Amino acid sequence: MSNSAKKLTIRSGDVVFYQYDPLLGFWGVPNMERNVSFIGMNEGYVRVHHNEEGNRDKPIRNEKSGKTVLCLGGSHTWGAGVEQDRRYTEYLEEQCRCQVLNLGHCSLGLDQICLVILNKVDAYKPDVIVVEQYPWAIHRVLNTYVNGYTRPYFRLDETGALKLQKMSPLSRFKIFRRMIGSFYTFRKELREFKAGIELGHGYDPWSDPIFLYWKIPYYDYMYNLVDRILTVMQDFCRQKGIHLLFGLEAIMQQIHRKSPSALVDYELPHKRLKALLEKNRIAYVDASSTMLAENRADDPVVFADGHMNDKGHRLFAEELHKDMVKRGWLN
Amino acid sequence: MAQLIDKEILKDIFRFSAAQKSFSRKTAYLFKGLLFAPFLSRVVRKAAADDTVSASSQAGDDIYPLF
Repeated sequence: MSNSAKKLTIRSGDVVFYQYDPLLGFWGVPNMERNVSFIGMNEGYVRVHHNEEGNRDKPIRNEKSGKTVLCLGGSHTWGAGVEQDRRYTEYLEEQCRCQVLNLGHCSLGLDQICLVILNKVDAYKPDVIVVEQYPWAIHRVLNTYVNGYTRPYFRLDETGALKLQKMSPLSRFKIFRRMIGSFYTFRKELREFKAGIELGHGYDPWSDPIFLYWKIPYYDYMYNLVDRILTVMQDFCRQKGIHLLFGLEAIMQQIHRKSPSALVDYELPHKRLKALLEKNRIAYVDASSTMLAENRADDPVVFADGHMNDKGHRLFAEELHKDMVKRGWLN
Repeated sequence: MAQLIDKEILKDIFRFSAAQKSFSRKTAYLFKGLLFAPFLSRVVRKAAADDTVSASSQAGDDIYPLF
């Protein structure tokens, strides 16, 4: 670990690695280096270094030799709690023997990932795009204000057409982001209140409404939105001749507890997301069964908060690699 | 005022603020709700307008092209 880098302790919701991005709402701060202690994950410090594009990745190489796999996702892809060389992208690179790029960022939603695919991936000329999706985090397509940043979002109009709501130019200013964000937060809370959902005070991750069968109708809109976003991603990749692969991990609730009732299903986001991927004919790897089988009390696959640890990343990479070899995408 | 703020939205705001647990939260949510009521009403009106326009319109700055 570099001793010259500043030391930092990170809690959930810290945004020290972000900066405003006019296209995506927020993106990584370029050329940043910190030694970070992640509360609730590991003890000690982990080195975090962003390259010149603001990604926690190697310096950019312009020459292309062999296949390129581009990985997109949230904090799991970014590697919260683990050293850079202990992430699934680095394990995948060893196994595939090709270039694997990591464009993961904490709290990135599927809609932002879609915008990255539409606007940024051409520059990297990838052969395969891997989208790591922690199934619980699919609800981020409904969150238009994240950790002090407003962000663009998709919505469905009354006819079911997909529309992109771009960000106000005022969003570049923190004070306006707070004002707009306060409105977005109130609007979301009001919608949830009308649906009998309470996510604010006294939130219990074990009875998150996303797992409750009697709350399914509230999330129908969200899954319809995800369906249309997936269609856009898949169509873009088909047009460009890029293989698209989704990777799903086990979520914290599946790993740490059994469901208390038949009406509380911790696999519900997995099931609904997989049904949409199948509907859109998008390839996916569900690593949750492997992760659950390999999880031990004395040798877990995740940290207490559900982020993959070194072992989890290794298993996830193996599952992705096996699938890509089976499909012949690395030949 | 009647045009600026949707009556149903106003009722929802009163119910929502009344459902908060402490007096300070009730007050804060009522204040925020009344402040945002015109914008929330605009969203409702816009959604209704979408319904009318979308049947005939296939393109526009904020309608994302599906391939």
